[in-house]
Amino acid sequence: MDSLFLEPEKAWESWSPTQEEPWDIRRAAHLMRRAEFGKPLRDLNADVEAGYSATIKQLFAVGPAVAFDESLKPMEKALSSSQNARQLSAWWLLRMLQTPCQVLEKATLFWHGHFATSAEKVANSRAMLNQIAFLRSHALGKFEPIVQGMARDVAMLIYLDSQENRKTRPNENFARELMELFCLGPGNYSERDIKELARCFTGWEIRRGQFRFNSNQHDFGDKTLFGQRGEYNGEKAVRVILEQPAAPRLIARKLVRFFVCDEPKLTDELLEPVSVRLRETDFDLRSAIHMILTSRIFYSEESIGHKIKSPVELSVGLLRCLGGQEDLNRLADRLFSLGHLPLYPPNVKGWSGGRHWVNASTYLGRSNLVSAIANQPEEQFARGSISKALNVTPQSDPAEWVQNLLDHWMAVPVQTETQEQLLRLASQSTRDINQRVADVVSAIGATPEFQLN
Amino acid sequence: MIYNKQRVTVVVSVSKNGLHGVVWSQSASVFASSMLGLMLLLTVPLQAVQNEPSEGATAFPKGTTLYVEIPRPDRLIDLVADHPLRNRIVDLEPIQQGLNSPQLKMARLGLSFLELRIGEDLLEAVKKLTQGGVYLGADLSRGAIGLALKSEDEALLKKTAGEILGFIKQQGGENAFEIKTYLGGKMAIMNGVVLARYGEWFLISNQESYVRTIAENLKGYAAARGGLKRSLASSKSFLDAVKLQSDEAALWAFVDLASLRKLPDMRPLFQGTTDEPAIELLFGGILEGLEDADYLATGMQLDNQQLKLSVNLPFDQNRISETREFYFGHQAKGYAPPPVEVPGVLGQAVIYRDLGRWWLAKEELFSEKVIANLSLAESQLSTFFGNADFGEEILGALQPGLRLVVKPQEYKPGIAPDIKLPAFALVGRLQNPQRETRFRISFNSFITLLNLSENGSMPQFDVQTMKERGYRVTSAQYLVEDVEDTGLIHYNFSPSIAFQDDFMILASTEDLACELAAATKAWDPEATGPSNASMIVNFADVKRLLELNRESLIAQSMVENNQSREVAAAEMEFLFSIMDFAKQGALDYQIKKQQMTLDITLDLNHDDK
Repeated sequence: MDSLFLEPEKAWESWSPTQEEPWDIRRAAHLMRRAEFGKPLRDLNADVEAGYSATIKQLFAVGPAVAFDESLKPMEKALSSSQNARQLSAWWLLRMLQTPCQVLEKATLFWHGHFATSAEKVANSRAMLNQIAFLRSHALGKFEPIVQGMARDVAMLIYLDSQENRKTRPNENFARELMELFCLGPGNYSERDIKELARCFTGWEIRRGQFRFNSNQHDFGDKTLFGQRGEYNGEKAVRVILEQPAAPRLIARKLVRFFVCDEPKLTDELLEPVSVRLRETDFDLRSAIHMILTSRIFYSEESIGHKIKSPVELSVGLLRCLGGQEDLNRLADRLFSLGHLPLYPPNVKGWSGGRHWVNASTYLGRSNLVSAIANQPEEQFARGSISKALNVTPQSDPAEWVQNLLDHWMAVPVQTETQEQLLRLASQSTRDINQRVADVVSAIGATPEFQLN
Repeated sequence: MIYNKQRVTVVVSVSKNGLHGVVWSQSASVFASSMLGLMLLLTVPLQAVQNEPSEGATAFPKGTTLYVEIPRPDRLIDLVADHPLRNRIVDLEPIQQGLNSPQLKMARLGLSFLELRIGEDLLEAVKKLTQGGVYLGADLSRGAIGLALKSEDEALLKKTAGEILGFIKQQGGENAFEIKTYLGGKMAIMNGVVLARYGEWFLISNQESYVRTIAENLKGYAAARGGLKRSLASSKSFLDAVKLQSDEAALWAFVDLASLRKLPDMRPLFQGTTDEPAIELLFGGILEGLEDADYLATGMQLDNQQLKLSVNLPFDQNRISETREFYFGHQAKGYAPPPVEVPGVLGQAVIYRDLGRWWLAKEELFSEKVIANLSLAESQLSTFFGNADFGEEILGALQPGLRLVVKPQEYKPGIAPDIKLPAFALVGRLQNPQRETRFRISFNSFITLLNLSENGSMPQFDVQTMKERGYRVTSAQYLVEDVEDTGLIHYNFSPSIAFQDDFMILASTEDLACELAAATKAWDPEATGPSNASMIVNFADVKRLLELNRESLIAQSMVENNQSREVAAAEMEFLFSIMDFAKQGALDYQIKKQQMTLDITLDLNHDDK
């Protein structure tokens, strides 16, 4: 069979389980690693039991998230009042671990990377919390409201030095990033478009921590955007930008890179069906993400194991699988050193991801992180110990429970030598069952295969 | 330890001149919960052995570094069983969960089986088996630790020991332990643990040689105390401690600092100095005491109303170094001002510290690296304070007696921070009231600096000065420009500086600054108490404050432990419940002619609310 990457029409057809490609643990685990942050084996078994259609339907059910959100609001408000943004990062990790609507949180993380804003520069916890809450509330909605919201977002405007935008000296920072990073991509606009767009946003400013429109500073004159002259203000300008053919292509490309594969083999032809879906649905993100997560290409061998886990996916996924109770402030510190702490992107382009996640230093850090989680005190795991969390008993057959772990956790098969080494660790007679399980989990965390998603 | 009908007090003290007593008050009952149970473990009455070492002390070998004795565990058990707080503690949800856990049920089953085998109610059996005392000793130089129990019922002890060994054999097989005999007693030796019985004594240790030495002392003691030469009771410092022991002492513990000082790991504790300026400021005198003291003694007392821990360290006032006069005062006559009446106060601390002399003594106190850092800070601070010399003219402008007052605050209408902090204030007296202007100008500079650093994205301060009823207050209020901002933590603060005669009050809120400025008129400025430092905390107010911050505390607990809201909330409820058990905590630190003493007191709360 030809590569689905060369057959756009087939690539985005809905996938259905067949005898050759059944809805099994491997595919269920793949879906949950990508769309969510991973799941314990017993929950995956339940998904397989429930069937593919029911699982997809359940995946996008956001109802429980509303109640979850409400229950956390008083605490979020209190936390943000302390102006300790690092603690907010830990708080977000908690949400990733506990939210009943994982796909919503995963999509929020995607949009945070897309509209990258760093708490380090913003230095206003409440503004950062408001931005993430806004992104969450629209993460599976329409794209235009997100862009319109970001144009007024306090944290974003502080981050891009755009608190002031006067008609005599239009600030081009936000206009440039809106075109280049958020909506169109390089090569799809001119320098004149940026200057004209900056005029559209004059008078949009931050005063005492709030957005306000200062009509005295707005340039009400005609502007020319993409060759069209009109009385554009910021809102109208965003609509004009999203009407450009490059806009759905950029969003389609970034969504597919986030959910399907890292490698840059995403041609415009391949992405066209997703772009069309976005265009035809007025940029309905839920529809586009649903299309991606139910496509043939998503369940193909060209997708499974063809991404590298981000540090957040690696750690939150492992903790979810183990029911681990890591101190999330400490985890936040570790993620910062691995270059992926939510609320602290490296620059306005966000995280590069893919191969950039792993180098000699971060590979060691990732292994150490897995080992630290695996070797926590027993009471830090679901059901009282790491072995119980993974349903392993002293009587369990080492070959069997090691294989179960590999089937559950690995997107691709490990080498025979690795498997033999894991089996040796699982069979050590001098160590008790919890130590053996922790040894195996630590060793798995150090394998190249575990880094893949 | 002291024992009488009304009160149990344990005071253990050590000084170069001997022991200071331990008092234990009775009619106190024992707590059933782990928390108070632990406290009570330290509060068992000692037998009345005035100025004479106990049998435990004669049993443990000379060179024992740490020694604790609980002479009458039977009384402790009765105390726990009858204590007014017992039922409230047992009724706590987490305690109930623990009591009903499968593990504890299994343990209870095992104990019931033991009861059947020995033919005694377990609690009564424990009382009989320990009626002669429980003694714990450790020799850190050889890594040995031992526990000795003396029973009043030798037959019961023999039977119980047999059952224990039988159980071990059942679990570990025929070769679970090796039996040896020594001086007429039997030792069971297993992996890392030695059990032994000598008449009415039962011994547990991690080293066979340690058991042998104890056995030799016991035999020596039994034969007209000939073994004393090799026992802890022959140690001069121990005997010094015992001499000061009250005949009603309930519990005491002895630490041989002279031996401890020889251990490499412990040396930093006895160097007499630290490179942490804040630690030096607060505890430098204790470091000086630890440098030379031969021993340390601790005692505890308990009754239905109070739990009190006393720590004594031998100390010679005549040997105080000039460098630390900032801490002790000239000829150790530095006394903190007495605590004052401030209605609704959450906590209050008073201390004697001459900050100016502390700063000037830095060359003798700290390493070159720390001195360099402090000198750099000094030049920057001097600039900030209008080129005044920071050590002499700023810190030195304050008299040594300082007060710290902490009080819950009332917020102005429309202000409701999501995290509610108490107001706090530092109260001192100026050597020269003419320096008031200098401090006021510096305060204004400080506020301006804060406004600039907020970069316009946070609320800004508005500074006002007012004169009222004889005192002058300069305060900085955050401007409210957006009602949504009033939840910010910033609105806990309206930093203020107030002056009344030579009193200077530096407060986190204007209200507290004004209240204290007004109150100082009634204070005797020259009054001092007997203490170098003391502190009082009212737990009901602390609890109220924590409850006001419930959501924030729950959130932090969830983040730290990756818990659900329900679990974190339950933990907070447990914490609040525990805080109900105490009314007030107090700490009092005094420098006496031959010793320094630290008393920590907890007033218990019997009320259900």
